[in-house]
Amino acid sequence: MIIVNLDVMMAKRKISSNELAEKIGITPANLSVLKTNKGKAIRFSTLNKLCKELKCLPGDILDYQDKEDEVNND
Amino acid sequence: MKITGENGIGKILKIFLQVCFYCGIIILVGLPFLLNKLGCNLGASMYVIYPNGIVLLIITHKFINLFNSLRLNNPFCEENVKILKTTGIISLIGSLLWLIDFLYEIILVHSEDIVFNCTLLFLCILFLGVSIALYILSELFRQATEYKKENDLTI
Repeated sequence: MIIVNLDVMMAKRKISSNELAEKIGITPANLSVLKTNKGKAIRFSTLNKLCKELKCLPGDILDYQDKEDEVNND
Repeated sequence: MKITGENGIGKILKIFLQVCFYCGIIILVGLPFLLNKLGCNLGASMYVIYPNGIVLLIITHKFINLFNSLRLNNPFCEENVKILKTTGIISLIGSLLWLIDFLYEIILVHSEDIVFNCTLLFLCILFLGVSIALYILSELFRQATEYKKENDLTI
């Protein structure tokens, strides 16, 4: 399954959820969905903004782990 | 014309269904007295008409709940899928009841009232059709709910 390591990158860049949500133009609730791996998909535009704001690559935010898709199968 | 929302057509339909629901209860309760007064004797069909009246009341009640969600601007939810599926099953029960009445009239009573028998058969087919239509609708709603959920969780 795809793991979103947004919280790790946010901690590295020392940026809060509210601040990041405001900067990339999404609601804190949607950012929370992304952070907690509850999201079903991520738009390229959102990924682009995240990478731009956190000064990182998509691979730094997204990771793949070979295990059951627990979140999306419920 | 606006369908969903506070002032949509859904609200008017909901009121109409509520009127039908309460009138249905009154008719169902008063039916024996009404038939007695009119001097009508439906015989064994009474045992089918009553359960079918209850079936129709349940269907109406389920549809009132369905139109509630239209008012709240949220038609594609799991609850509506369940309502449509349950209503489909209830309608199928209604169809079976009409079929039992039809077979009873043909086989046991040897009824020669063609209009009455055709009406029973028509009601049986009608309820069966409604049941199939509701099942298909519930499947459509289930898929739409899944798409909506996926869209909502696309950030």
